[in-house]
Order: sequence, then C-alpha cells, then structure tokens
Amino acid sequence: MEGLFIGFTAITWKQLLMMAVGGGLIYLAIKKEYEPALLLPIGFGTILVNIPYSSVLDQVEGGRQIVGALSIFFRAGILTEIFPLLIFIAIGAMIDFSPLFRKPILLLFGAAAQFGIFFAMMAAALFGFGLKEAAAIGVIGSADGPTSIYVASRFARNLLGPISVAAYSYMALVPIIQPPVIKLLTSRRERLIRMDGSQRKISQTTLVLFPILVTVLTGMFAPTAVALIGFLMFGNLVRECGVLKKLSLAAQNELASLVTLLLGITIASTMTAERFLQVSTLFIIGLGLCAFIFDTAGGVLFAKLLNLFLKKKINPMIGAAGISAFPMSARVIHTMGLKEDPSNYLLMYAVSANVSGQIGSVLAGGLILALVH
Amino acid sequence: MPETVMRIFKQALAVTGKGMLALFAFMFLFFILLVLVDRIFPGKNTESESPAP
Repeated sequence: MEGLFIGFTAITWKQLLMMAVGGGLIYLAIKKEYEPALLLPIGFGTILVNIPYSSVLDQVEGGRQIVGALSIFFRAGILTEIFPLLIFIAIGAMIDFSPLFRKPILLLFGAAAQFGIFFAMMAAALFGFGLKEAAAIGVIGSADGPTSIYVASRFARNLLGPISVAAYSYMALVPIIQPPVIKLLTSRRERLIRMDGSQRKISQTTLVLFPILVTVLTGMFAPTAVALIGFLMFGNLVRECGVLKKLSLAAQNELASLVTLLLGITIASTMTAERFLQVSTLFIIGLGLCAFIFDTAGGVLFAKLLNLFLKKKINPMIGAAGISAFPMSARVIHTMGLKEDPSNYLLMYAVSANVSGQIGSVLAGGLILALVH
Repeated sequence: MPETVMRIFKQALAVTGKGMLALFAFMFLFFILLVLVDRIFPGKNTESESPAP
C-alpha cells in the first residue's frame, strides 16, 4: 500500500515548481500560441520528468537499471544529433530561395544579424561561463531552435533545457522584441524608405544548383559545418529538383511535425528540477534576450552602413529581418513599414533577408563549432 | 575580474572577430555564387514590378 503513495511522499518543492514551469509553457503554447509545436511538448515533458521516480527517465530499482523512454529518445535523437539534423531537412524543404535571387545584396544581412550570437557569447564569458558553454548560450541568438540544440548538444549538454526553452520562447517573442529596437535605431524618414525590384522568374537549374554549390563551398572551407548546412540544403534540393514532390511535401509536413514533437518532448528530459533550477538558467534567459536584441541592432546598423555607399537606399528595417525566425521577423518588418506608410510594401524584401538569415544562422552555428575548441 | 574569466573573454573576443569575418566572407561568396549562377542560367518571363500597388 505504501508504494501507492511514494510519489506524494518523495516529491520536493523544486519538482512542484518545475511542474508549474511546465504548466506555464503549456499555457503559453495554447493561450498565447507561442511556438506551440515546441513549447507544448516541452511543457508536458517537464511535468513528466518531474514526477518522482518517473518511468520516462532511467531509474534504478532494486539494484536493477530500468531504461526510460525519454532517456532512450535523448540518447538516440539528441546525443547523436539525429533529431536536429532531420529538422534541417524539413526546414530546407520549406525554404524558397528565389526571393534572394531578386535582391542578392540582402544575403549580407544574414551575416550582420548574427551579431547577437557573438555578443551574447562574450557576455556569457564575462559572467563566468566556460568558452564552450558561452558559445552554446550565444547560439540562442541564431533565432533557430535546431541550431541551438545542435550546438548545445555538442558543447553544453547540461544547459540543453534552458537554452532550448530560451531559444523557442524568444523566437515566439520576436514581434515584441524587435520593434522597439528598430525604432530606437532608425528615424521615421529611414523607416519610410521605399524599395523597388523585379519579380522575375528564377530558372529551375539555378535553384537546383544553388543548394549543391553552397554545400560544397561551405564544406571545402569549414568541414565541421557540413552536417548543418548539408542537411538544410539537401532538404532544399528535394524541394527544388521537381521530381520528388511527394517527398518534399512529406518533409515539409509529416517529417517536420513528427520530429518537432519528438524533439520537444525529448528536450524536456533535461528539464529536471536539479538541472533547471540553477542560477545559470536565469543568466541564460537574460543572455538569450540580449542576443536577440543585438541581432536586430546588428542587422539595422549594417543596413545604415550600406546606405552610406548605395545609390538606391535600403530601408534599414529590412536588416532586422536577417535573423532566422522565419517568417515571423519578415512579417514584423512588413507590418512596421505599413504602419509608417500604408502603401509601402516591404514583405518581399523582408522575406529575402529572412531567408538569408536562415542560411546565416546555420552557418554561424557551424562556424562556432569550428572555431571554439 | 578573475584571470580565468578574462582569459575566456579574450578567447570569446577572438572567436567573435574570426566568426563575424568568416560569416561575412561566406555570405559574400554565396552572393557571388548566386549572381553568377543566375547570370549563367537566367529565368524566363522577366517582368518589372511596381514597388507598391
């Protein structure tokens, strides 16, 4: 009979607090619709792993090791990096690079708007984190969940939970984080700048060659980035080749949904009270916010710098869309443009910058892996 | 500031310098690649678009 009440007698206030955190994530996912595909599984998983002696985690019972389902998923999907890489195939299949071909200069914003990664890494180093941990925290600024998870699983497995939660939470909060930073750094006159361009058709050969050449080029210079960029570009090749429509749709829908579900609930296996309730978690949440702010600032300031040399000025708000949060950031910029001038349509250009941000974030993750030892 | 923290910060600073430089270099390479491939295999049905309806 005693065994029936073991959960009630063994539970700690920390575990109860973590269950409340899990409940909070579920609330944000359902009520506020903040990245529900990720935050809901993470929230529910957090509750699962904080139940005393939960059978979803490895437990020792009578000297015998009992293997937990989430622990198996963690070892098979996260430690091997399989889940984030599968997600990259799905993301690659969702990306349409053709807007970039119409305004290729916007590709550079995909680099500028990664500045937050490096800023947060330096700040984390000042707060006493080791270099690898600081790098993993910085990558929250990639605004790209799978890249954050990929780098954290290599550099700071102990921080995987808070890093994932911070990355996905701030991605959902892009409409709240970006506008004030953009307004602070731009004048109304700058926000009113109109952009023009063509909407010509891009050849299929170009769209097929681009992912292959990008992979080879990146691989030759930075082999450590090949897994990240290669899987992303493979997904894109499946989309653009024109002969794998079923697979492309499956990657965009079923693969993306299934792996996101598994990724979310597996990440939750690291959200145990003893791991998550640390002072470092608060630092990670704060540094993640800094990363997003400095990403936005990096993009906007780079656009202003480019405008010093360009005849046809770029609306500096477009620079902020160089982060990877797609298509959220592009929508935010488009809406801000419409608020300033209801006839100024920036969506196409913001989407181009946003797509370049997706390449930039994955590349930044790969470079971090190559540069941090 | 403890010596270890300063040492790690300097390492992070070096990674930042190299990382941002490499990132821009790669993006510039992709930019050239993009323009080149597009020029070699141009798309059809070129039409101009007005910036705002």
